Amino acid sequence: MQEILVYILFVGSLAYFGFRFFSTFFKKEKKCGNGNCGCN
Amino acid sequence: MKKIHVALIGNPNVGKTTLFNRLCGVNQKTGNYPGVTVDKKVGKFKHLDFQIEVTDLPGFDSIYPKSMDEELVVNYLKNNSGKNHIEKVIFVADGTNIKKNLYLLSQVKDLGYDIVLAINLIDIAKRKGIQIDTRYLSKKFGIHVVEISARKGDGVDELKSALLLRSPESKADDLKYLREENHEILQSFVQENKAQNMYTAFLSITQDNTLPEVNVKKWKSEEAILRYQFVRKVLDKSIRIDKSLATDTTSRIDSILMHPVGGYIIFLGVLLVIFQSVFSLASYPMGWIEIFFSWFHDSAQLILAPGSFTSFITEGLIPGIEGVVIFVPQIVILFFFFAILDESGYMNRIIYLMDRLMQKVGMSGKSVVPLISSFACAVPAIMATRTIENKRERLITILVAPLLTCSARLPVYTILIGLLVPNTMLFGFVSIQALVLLAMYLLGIVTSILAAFIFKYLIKNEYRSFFITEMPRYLLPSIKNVFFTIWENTKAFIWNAGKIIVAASIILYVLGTNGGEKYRNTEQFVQSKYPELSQTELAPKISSYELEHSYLGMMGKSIEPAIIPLGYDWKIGIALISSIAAREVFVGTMSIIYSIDSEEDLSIMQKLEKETNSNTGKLTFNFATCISLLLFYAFSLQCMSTIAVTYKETKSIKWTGIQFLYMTILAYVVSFVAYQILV
Repeated sequence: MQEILVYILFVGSLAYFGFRFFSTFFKKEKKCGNGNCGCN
Repeated sequence: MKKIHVALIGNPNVGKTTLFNRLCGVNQKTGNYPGVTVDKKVGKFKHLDFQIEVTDLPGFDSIYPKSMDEELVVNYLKNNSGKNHIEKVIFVADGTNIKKNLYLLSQVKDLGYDIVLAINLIDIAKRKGIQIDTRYLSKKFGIHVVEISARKGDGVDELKSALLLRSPESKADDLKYLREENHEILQSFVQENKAQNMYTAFLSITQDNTLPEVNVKKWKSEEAILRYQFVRKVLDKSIRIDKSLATDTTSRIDSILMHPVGGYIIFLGVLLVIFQSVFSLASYPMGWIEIFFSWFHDSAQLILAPGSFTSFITEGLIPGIEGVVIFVPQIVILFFFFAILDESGYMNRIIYLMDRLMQKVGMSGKSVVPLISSFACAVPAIMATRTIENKRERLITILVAPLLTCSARLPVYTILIGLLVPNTMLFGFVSIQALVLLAMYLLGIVTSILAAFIFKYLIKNEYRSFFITEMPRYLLPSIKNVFFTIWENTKAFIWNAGKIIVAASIILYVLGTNGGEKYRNTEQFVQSKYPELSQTELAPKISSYELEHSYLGMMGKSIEPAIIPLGYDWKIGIALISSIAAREVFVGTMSIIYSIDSEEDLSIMQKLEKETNSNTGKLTFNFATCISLLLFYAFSLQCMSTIAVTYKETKSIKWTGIQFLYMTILAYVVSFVAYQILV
């Protein structure tokens, strides 16, 4: 039972790093719309 | 009696309202613009045979409005017609900080207004030793200039008389806001659209996008750069600051803290005090945290049922979290001092001191703010480079910002410096550990300057930009703001590092407690190899063999050939791989590796001190390896978030790649050379 719990956490952690990697490199940044921040 | 309508304008907080009250006395009335909450004040006064009506408008910083009240003023100035027709403008400037006002003055002048420049606070300016050449300003802008003190009433009569005079001929360069190749576009636009003048046409193009083929962003940034060039030239010739004439407290403190030589020495001394405090003051709470986690570890082992989850909690998660939390006292102390420097006004002096140096290495004073925030974290620092208009300066700042010592490096440095030098005092009061930490911070600063200098020659430049900063008065720091800065930065450190550490701990633990065939047959192998040893003597050998043949050990072993020349073994290799996600994971990883590996209940420092290198048989963390590791972490770009933010900000795989490569190669080469010399 304890082992299953550790493996669930392990898969969860891998997914977390995968998500972080995807969101930092591939997710589009929201534009603020006023142009003052340099995003436009 | 002849009537004149005058508008009173200027940047915020230059003393417009004081002047308005001085001019109009009790005759003022307040009226609301329809539809907006911002008010304008209208007042009247008589001078000679003239009745002068004054409209006091809200302060604004640029002709490009950023808020509703600014928009109101700008629209008012752009549409100067009808019954509100303005004949004269009193532009109020702050004599103690006139450089901030001249940019706006040049924009308003280009709108075609007949301006009288009222340089307010002239009494305070003189006490600061500031001398203003009003004749030169008058010639350069084609306006009348009067020095006043609205608070005392000095110069107000001259101002009233100047309102009745005709403006002198302008000697200002025409179209100083647009590059020559675009002049034709603007001229034909003026003819076609019958614009009031060239600058209103320019604003129509840049603010209302009336000419779609024009790159508005480029025109705007060109305007900012060309105007600053013009303002800088005017300032160079019209303002002199003679510190020997200054008599106010701020100037007297400045004469010491901003001395061309002494200023830098004091700055170094301030840094040394900070780093000494980081070590000495933080050692007490760090000890308490260590005791707490040791108790927590023992309690968890007692309470939880034996099994792999319990073992993960005690050997993976708790040491991992301890690796983050133990450095909180140091982070708190570091940001306490940074907040004090910022709040007191000293940080701006540091920026000013560094400006000249920055210009020489291809950056500007504007780069200093992002670079200083890099001491906290490179991610917001790289985002803060958006304020730098010049592309080359911005790119160079982005490329070198991660070389400065961020808070994530602090745990790595502290632990390695702890292993490297004893906690002894030089001359009885200067901690050697603090000196080494100061040296690491200086190394980051010097390397970033050298790197910037090299990039200056590699990246082409279109034009030079100028930096104008405000020098605030020295103030006693507000406790609330200091507390807020500490809280925000500590929270960010714990939360950002915490999330990664917990996830990394889980992965490291699973990879460190699982492996291939050799891992599974550890006990058999070790028992057959050491048949003479008892079960207790065998235990450390079994855990060591297990770790070496686990998946984690295999990863470390796979990069070992590349890192042996730097003095590292496969265990440090594991820490290097795991800290690619974030540098602070290094300490957490070391804690986990040695918790899995060791049966003894020792602190991380004690474990590292005892550790021997499996290749050489000598102590792993000897002098040469510690120096090599310190240098590796000083230069390498081990931070996923920084790589990502560089990519986002530069939108270029090329520059993101160049940054990662130059820092990694630099880290490897410098560590290699250092180790080979010292070993």
